[in-house]
Amino acid sequence: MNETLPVELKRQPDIAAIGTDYEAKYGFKDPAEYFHKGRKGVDHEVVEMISRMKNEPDWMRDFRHQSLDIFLRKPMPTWGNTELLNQINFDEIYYYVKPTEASSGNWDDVPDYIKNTFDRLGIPEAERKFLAGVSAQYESEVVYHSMKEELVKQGILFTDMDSGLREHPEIVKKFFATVIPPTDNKFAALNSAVWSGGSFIYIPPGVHVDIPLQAYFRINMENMGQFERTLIIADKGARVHYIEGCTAPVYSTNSLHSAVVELIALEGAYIRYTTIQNWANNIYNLVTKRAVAHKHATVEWVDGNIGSKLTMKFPCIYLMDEGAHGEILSVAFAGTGQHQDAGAKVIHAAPNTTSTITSKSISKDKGRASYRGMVKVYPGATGSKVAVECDALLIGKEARSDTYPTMEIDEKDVSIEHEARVSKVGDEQIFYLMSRGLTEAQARLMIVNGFIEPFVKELPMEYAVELNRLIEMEMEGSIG
Amino acid sequence: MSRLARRMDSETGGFVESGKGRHAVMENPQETPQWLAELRDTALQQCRTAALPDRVAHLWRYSDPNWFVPETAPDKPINRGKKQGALPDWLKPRIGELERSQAPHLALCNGQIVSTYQPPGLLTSGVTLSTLAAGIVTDEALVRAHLGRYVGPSFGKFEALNLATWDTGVLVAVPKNFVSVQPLQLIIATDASRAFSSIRLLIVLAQQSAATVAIELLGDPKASTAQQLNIVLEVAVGAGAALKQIMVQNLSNRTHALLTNRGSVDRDGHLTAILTSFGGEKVKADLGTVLTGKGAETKFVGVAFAQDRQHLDHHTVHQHLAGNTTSDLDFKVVLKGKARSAYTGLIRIEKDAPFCEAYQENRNLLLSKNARADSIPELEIMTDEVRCTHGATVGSIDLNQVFYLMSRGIPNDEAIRLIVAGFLEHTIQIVPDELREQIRELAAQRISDF
Repeated sequence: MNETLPVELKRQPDIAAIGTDYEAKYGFKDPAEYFHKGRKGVDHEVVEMISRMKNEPDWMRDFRHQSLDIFLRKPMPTWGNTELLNQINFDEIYYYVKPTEASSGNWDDVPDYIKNTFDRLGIPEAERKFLAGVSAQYESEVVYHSMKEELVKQGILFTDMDSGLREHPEIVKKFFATVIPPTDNKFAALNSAVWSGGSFIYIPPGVHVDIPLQAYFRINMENMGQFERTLIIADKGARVHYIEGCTAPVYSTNSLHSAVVELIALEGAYIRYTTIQNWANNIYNLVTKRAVAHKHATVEWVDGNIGSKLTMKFPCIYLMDEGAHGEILSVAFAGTGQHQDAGAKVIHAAPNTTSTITSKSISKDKGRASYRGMVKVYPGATGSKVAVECDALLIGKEARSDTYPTMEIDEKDVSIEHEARVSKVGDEQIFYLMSRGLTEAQARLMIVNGFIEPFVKELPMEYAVELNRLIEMEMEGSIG
Repeated sequence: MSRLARRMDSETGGFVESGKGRHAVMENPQETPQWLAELRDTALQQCRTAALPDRVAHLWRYSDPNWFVPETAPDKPINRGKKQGALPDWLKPRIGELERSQAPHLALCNGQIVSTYQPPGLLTSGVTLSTLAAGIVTDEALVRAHLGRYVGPSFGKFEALNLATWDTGVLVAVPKNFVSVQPLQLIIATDASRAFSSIRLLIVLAQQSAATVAIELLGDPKASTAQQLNIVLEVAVGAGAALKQIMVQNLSNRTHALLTNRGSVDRDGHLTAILTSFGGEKVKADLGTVLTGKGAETKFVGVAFAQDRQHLDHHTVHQHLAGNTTSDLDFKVVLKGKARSAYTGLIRIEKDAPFCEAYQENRNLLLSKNARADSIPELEIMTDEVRCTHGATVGSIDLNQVFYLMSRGIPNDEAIRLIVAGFLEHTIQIVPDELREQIRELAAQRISDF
């Protein structure tokens, strides 16, 4: 009977046995031997300390202090999952933890316990196999960083954000916080005040980076706040694909991950940003991600949300000049105890701009997945085209799915389409596959895999395999 | 708190102390039942304590609540010098038409009956078609059971205001097992002789009954003075009953109107709600159906056509409380001039409501550069045994269609008129004969120049 099974199912010996290994695979904790561990809570003193330790220029220190004032002034959001949001205790969080004295370009220089972490996560292996550059962040700082020699020669800048600020102040100062100002929202303000780490990438005009650059973010400590800040600039006609991954151990108390990611695609440039977020189920993942696409530029967000307790993440693209194109592809998987509040925003501010949003969500058991989207077309953005498609799959009587799309259209010569579907895995589909000799679990998994196929096929091979494995894990025990 | 909100607060406060206004709305104040006085008092308290709707919540993101705060005290309608109860010239043709057709109807203008007719067969059938004040006398138990049950005192500040202060009301009640063949037609006309009116409509279909009820909200087409309306429509469809409800909104272009409609559909009941929205300066309509019994079905078909600087804000809610229920929504919007439409729609399927089906479609056609359409179709699904889809589109006329028609010898403008008429025709088709031509005419007037 096994002969008739598709290859991918054959290599899964027993689906019911898969899973529960987040704890084993990602959930391990390291003994903490930190170079510096600040105190809990945030105030001007903590901000001053971070800025001094990083030896930053005055403008950045002032920026941090101003941002903190904005953070303290801004109320918590009154929309979304306010019940979970209001459980965040900002006084119980460590805002800055420095694991090592300095970032290293040599894997051997990284302290053993951190090295073990990333070895177990397979980062050095992945680097050797298919990446053009790697950055590994542990708690607040990037501990390891390397890039292929030929990319350096082409003038590509790929460093951690702190080094970027030190070594390329003119570029950073020109673009930093221009896409997401601290006033944008409470969590962007917090990030602006206490940011540390993240990636800084600049691709010179006309340079194509054909293999992806990657960053890996790891939270190890309890009650940790990770606030990385990423800025990617693709100059005229440049191309780049950036991937990030994230995991953390499982603790009983919650940690906060609040990143700010700014992408700038200048004329004719192309940026793809891929995230597979697999935080432990005690992490609040409240991230602001926004891109600006100039004339004939393309920005693509490929966004996978598997982990975390509450994710609020709405990757956004501003199409600022004629012919700009945006694409957002997202997958969310919400199991019990999880709320994936994900979505997408596209702002059409120029004529003949186009965008597509594809969102797939799976809610299982008591999980809740929401799509929250915004499509805005400003007057004068004639010939704009937008297509939005949201599909939701429900597995379990208590699963919940929400769709909250907003369309604000101020221009007549446009074509805007939005479609959403919510359903459960069809009994007739299961029946059909079972009649072909699959077990119910195999059939269910196959349908779920088919459902997210448009997303998976956009990922690099290694990631696609990893994502399929994650879905297998999450699907474990979903029968009945 | 805004200046206007403060004013409403003090004014309604004054309303309590005067006490008289409340009873003056009854035809016979001595017979105001105790329960009604208490219901109005509760609503008044709620109205005073409730906050104005929060604009952060997206249902009010596109409309300012202050537009609907009464400019005058609700119990002291400013009589702008016109004789009340008179039939204004602009309303005469429509009333004449109704009277000639011998259709069962009740027409009110500024709260006064201007025309009513019930065929002998209907009179003996037990069907009630009367003012709400009269209904409280004739069908007290029924009104008591339903009034304020679907849009109650705690619904919101404006809805509480309506329950506390309504002075124009209509009751339509169809008894058990009765099938009313002819549509029952209601005309609710107002002009600016009163600056603010609270209007309350109640439709109750007992089990296994069937009826078609048409409601026309009319205003002076040449009005130059502003007026405000607060309208609540409560609908109860009993087990196995079927109601077709048509609302034609053609208020004056100086009217600020807030319309709240909730329908409740019991087991195997069926509600078809048709809305055509043409008039008003600023209109916010909150239209909802709650499917409370297994097998209940509802269908909503709507058309909004706005021009000039009109602002139309429509919200629909379809709430599936029971399993095996179905809802289907089709809402079309056409905009020209500097008109603006906001549509927000919610389908909510509760945890204990398996095997539901829900569909929602919102299409927006923009005929001018300065028109603006916002659309938020939402889904909240709490269980997995569902089939639920929604779709929304915004765009201008498909030039391929215009080209095709022109290639057949039809001039450009005429081609566009045909395409817009076609866009609306699907909805107009299901309107009962009595009103179909009238709606076609209203649409045609708006398409004649663009």
